[in-house]
Amino acid sequence: MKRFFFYSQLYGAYLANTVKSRMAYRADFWVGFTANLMIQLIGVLFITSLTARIPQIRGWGRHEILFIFGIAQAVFGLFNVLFTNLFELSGRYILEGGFDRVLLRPLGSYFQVVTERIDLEDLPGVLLGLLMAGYAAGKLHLDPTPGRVALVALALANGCAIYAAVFTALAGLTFWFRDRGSIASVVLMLEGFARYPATIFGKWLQSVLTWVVPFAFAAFYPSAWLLRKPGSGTMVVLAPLAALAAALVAAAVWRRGVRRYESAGS
Amino acid sequence: MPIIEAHSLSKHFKRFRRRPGLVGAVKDLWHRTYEVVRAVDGIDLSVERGEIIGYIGPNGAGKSTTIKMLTGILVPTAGSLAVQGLVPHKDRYRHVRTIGVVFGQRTQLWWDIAVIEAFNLLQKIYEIPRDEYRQRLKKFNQVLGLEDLLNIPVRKLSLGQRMRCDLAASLLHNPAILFLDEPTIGLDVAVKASIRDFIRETNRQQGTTVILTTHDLSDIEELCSRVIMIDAGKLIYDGGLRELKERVDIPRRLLVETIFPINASKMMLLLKDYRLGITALDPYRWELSFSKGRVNLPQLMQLLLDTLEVRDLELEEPAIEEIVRQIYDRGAPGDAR
Repeated sequence: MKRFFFYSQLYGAYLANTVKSRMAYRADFWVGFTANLMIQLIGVLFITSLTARIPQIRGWGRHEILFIFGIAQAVFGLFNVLFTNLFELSGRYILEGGFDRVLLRPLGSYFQVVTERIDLEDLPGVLLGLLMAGYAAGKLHLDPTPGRVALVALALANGCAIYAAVFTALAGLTFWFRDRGSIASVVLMLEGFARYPATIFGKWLQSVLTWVVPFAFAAFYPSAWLLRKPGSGTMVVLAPLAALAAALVAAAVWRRGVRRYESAGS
Repeated sequence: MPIIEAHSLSKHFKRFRRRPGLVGAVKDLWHRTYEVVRAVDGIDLSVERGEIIGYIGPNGAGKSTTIKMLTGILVPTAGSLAVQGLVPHKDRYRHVRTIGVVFGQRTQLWWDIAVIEAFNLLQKIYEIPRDEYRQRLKKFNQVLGLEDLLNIPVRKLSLGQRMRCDLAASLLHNPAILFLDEPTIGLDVAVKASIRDFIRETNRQQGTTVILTTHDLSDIEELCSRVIMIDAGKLIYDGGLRELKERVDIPRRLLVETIFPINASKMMLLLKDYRLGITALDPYRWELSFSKGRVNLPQLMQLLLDTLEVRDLELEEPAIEEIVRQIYDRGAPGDAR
């Protein structure tokens, strides 16, 4: 408990520093923020115009698809805000030796890598996603009861954990293979699929998204349950277990990887 | 009890051997050959509290790899290592609380934030009591002249400024051991001097043990009483600086300048009883080279002063670079513990 308090306090201090250093370059920040907003808006535009023309895909109605897309966008956005530095792990930390500094501080190495950069510029993704989901929910007459809001919040946290675990494990492979995250970019493609109802894809892709790279648990299964889809009860229960399993794999990769760390020649 | 103790400490890396050319690169895709690089190969170390040790050797000798094992960054391949009774990589948190590390090549501070913010963050990370922190910061500000730097982001500092900040940062938590890897690389003379003074004072006042790697042998001459030399992963010398200078057979040079020109045969005849290399730079200036200990220097100088009209005498002390080179040329002088 004392440890938890200590780390929370430090997280606050790191966060304050991130904000300060970003604000020192206010123009940069707003350019990044706006660019991000545009990217996310294009995504919204794409999905709304797509669903306007195709009102139904394999039993999924227009607003149901929008709802799932919105939740998925919010989850991935949150992951990007909090864990963006995982994408720097291969290059800046492992291959270029920045991990040396991390190992010289009396703090958890994972905590430091994740905390050293927090990407506030990705916040528009979270906000737009939630707005879209809220709009779709309204059209579907899903009232924002406390229970539903709580479940969305849980889904956000759980989904964020799933993405974090998967990308931690992938980036951690750099401890073994000197690769600048090309596997991670392949898996990043899968994230695009995870924004749609998984059942519209073929069986194999659906299985991959469920059992191999469990992105479907991040947004799709919890959303399906909120949308009262038959058979979604089991999967929503499995969602935290999927996150836990992914986290255990990631932790094992991390622990073994750090022992293999070779630093960079000076 | 020694503060650092290592027995047959080794670090081996498996390196992929690239074949040359495009054809080689394609072949490498299918079949790879590896070689084992013995970066550090069975070294024994024993360091006492309060020592300042110069750890030297040519590029790629294994200096940085050793430091990285001692600081807990790298896990040794073989051998045993205890720093203040802890195994660095196993007991990382407790270990790093008691050491300070400065790498000359790369800052330990956060790139984007101002120096003072970085210091404040370190105060929280190491849980340094506030009063202690304030006092120490005040002192470092004075001694290293940091006042004007505190509000500048680390990435905007010049090399010398950054080095001073890094050094201060490494000592905020008052570590028992300070590791310095090339702390003066690329710095001008004035900054070098202030950094050396600071290291010396810290060692004297706090009893901080210092392990220093450097290419600048004047760092060693000014700071270290003990020198450890490594080459190709093995220790080739461990002992006092003065003993090292005396042990190794280094040519010394005596420059003699005379008022009147002297011809070569006269010089040869005069010095025939001495084992000297004699070179005429011009008829007025002569360079006499000899091995230390083989020639009675006062007697030689007396003879020169008595027989020639000497304008000037200049004795060149051996540079440490030369000692290092000679040890490498000759192999172990027999003192590697």
